[in-house]
Amino acid sequence: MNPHRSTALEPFVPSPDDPWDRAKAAHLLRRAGFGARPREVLALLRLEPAAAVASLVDFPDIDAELEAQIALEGGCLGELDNRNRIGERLGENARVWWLYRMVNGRRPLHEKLTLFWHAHFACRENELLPTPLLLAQNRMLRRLGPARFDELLLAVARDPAMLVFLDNRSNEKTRPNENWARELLELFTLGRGNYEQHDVVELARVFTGWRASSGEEPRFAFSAAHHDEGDKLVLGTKIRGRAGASGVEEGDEVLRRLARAPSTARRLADKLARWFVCDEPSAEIIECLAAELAGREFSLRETLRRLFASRLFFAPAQRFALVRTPVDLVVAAARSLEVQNVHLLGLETISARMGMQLLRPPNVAGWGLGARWICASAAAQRAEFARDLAQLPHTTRRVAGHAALDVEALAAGAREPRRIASELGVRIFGVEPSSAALDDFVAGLAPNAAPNDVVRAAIERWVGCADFALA
Amino acid sequence: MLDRRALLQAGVIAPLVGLVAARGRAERAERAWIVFELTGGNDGLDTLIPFEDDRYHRARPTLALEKRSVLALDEHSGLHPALTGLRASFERGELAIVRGLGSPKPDLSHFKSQDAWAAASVADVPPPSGWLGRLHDVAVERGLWARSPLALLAVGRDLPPPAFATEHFVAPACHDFAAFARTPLARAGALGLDPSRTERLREAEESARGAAAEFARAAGTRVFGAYPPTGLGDHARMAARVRIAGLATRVIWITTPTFDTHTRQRREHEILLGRLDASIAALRDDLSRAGLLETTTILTVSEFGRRVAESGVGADAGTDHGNASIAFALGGGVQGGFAGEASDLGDLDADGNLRATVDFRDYCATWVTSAGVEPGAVLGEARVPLSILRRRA
Repeated sequence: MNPHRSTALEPFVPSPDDPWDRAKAAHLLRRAGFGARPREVLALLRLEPAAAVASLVDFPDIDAELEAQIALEGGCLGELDNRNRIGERLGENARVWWLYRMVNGRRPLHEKLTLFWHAHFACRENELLPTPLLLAQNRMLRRLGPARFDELLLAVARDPAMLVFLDNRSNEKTRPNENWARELLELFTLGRGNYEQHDVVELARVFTGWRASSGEEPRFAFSAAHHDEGDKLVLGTKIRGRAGASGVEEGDEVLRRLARAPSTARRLADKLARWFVCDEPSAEIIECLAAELAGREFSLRETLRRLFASRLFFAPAQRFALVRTPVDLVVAAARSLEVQNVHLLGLETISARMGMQLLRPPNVAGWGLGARWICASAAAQRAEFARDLAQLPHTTRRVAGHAALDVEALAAGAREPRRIASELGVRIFGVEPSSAALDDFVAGLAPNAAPNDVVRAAIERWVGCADFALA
Repeated sequence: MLDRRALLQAGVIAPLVGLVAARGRAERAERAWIVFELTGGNDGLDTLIPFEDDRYHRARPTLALEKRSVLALDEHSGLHPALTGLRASFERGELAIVRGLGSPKPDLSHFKSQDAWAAASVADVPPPSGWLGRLHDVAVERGLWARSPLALLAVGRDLPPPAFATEHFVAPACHDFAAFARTPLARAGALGLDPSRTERLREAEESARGAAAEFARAAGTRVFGAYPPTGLGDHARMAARVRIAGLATRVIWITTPTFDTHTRQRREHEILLGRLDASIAALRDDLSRAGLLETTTILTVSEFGRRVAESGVGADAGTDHGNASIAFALGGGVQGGFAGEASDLGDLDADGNLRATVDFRDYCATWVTSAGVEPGAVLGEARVPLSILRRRA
């Protein structure tokens, strides 16, 4: 008997009864990115499922230097067109910069995975933690996020933004600070119930002397003088105290162990399931994902590859089973509608009004997920956002100076209202709206409404409705 | 005449016990709290001025206000000259001024201090829920407050404040009642999804529709107060409308930036306090006119006070982050006068800041108590409310 049988993610194999179709390709795009543009759906349908998954998962590595360059010099929108927002706050620019990448990037999964890690290792911009440090952290999450969790965790522990945010830079042997040690156990790895307070105390001693240099570009610096050289007992295992520069090895030893602990795998699996599968993942899904993580050296890329290609992922029950975060919602809408000059649309303000401001998670626990985003204000904000999108100026070619829509292109040549509404539905949801919804929509139109007005009415209706809050 | 038994059977009257409880609920349910959050850390020393204290004048050669300009409340202290409305309230005996308000574990970071205030906790990692969010949950569970999507309402903010956070409720935030009321809320779905999947989303839409209708009512409510033509004035007017329209809102949160007067404090602080005073005075007048001042409490919070010694020179002079400051509480059930000891200018902490004589958690406990809930149920520990609440008749 194969003990792993029940926890394996069986691949999805198309059959005449259960083909590789538009609904599945759109589902994959909604989860591995933000929304499903018609031509992206068509491109995936030309591939076998496994190759379609690979086309999303095997995004190329990015040029970290270039990212930094764009972020910090020439206005963070140097690569965008005019009106770069010189004089406004760098944090605002950074949000616009990131949202721009999410909407227009060719590697949406890379952006979504970076967002996943930003929400996991949630650091918040404040007067002690300025934007450049968070941008440097963002660059690190981009580089290491797709790869192995232990490597990522080692980098996060040395990340100046994290050292500042959780005060470890003032964690010294004479006055240990437990902030980082506690969150490391509670939020970043094992989770509540898997450690005791004395483990926090001992772990804080392990990380004494881990600090960031001061100055314009802080870097990780280990201070042997502030490190507690004594032995420690963390989670029942003795950590041999080390003197001098090798004191830093104690922390690395513990980080590697924490990264690979079974409860860490379960905790990450639960989170991955809530980000990529459904709001209320079953124990089976979590066990499957935990087993995949452990079996693939905790590589996020490989785990997601197996997940996205699995029968479980494509099951009809998982479709539209996730409540979108505000960032997912606004990006998916703008991406689906191919809004031009999206950096001038104010997505950073709209998502903030909906309760999610990039680089400003509410606290170190990150943003809530699922039903947390369902509330009266969100419904009103979504409706307002839909109306504002629908009223964007029309353009047939790239224009400067304001956000715009190519309204005619969105109708895809359709003239008849029901056909237009259907085209827009496919674009916005990835699948066609129900016949009843189309009937209802057409019944509400003014007689002889011009095609462009029908497009706008359809945008307002589909983006504003409750179903768009689901992915 | 029908006897009681027949009425009971017909369901016309509730059993006596239930009736009394329901009446008790109704009385308390009418109360509301309007919180003005002075973000950035308001300078208590230049708000309530110890004009006879030489140490104050020595520490602040540029910023210190002269005795003759101060609105004296007693022989030692007086309000900033911009606070004429609050002085009038003090004289009417409806304004309490809490002195020495701060934290036993002060932190000079806005962020950490705001987190501490939001949670009413001095733990290294404060709980993620806010003290008003927890009060809401307890009050609703006990039937003290009606369950309503508007029970906690933030006006003039993008997001509800962290003090409202709770797992069981997401408070709405509204910039403009009329605009919210005009929002074209979607009808029906699009994809014919299983109703169980969209049930909560539909409920939220229903709730938004309900809120929109209530907001339309608030937007159409006449007010008379002379609100200053600023964001804060608009938000205070919104608060008055919520009360006068009789919305089911128990706590209204108004955030006003930014009291973080590192530079140009003399001029900036005067403007900030002037707007605050005029907004509160107009709100107070509207509430009083509508007979709602007895059931509405206006209170201020701010994450910390400011350094005693000024920094910078001349018109640029300002102050750094500090600890103890002062707070105002006005109206419903408040006993006018001073509460708490003024911080001792001769006993500063290592950072040169005023020490707290009143724990901010006790200040929060005061409002929890005034809602009819024991502080322990919300703050997790038995805090002692300040003696600024009038005994109920």
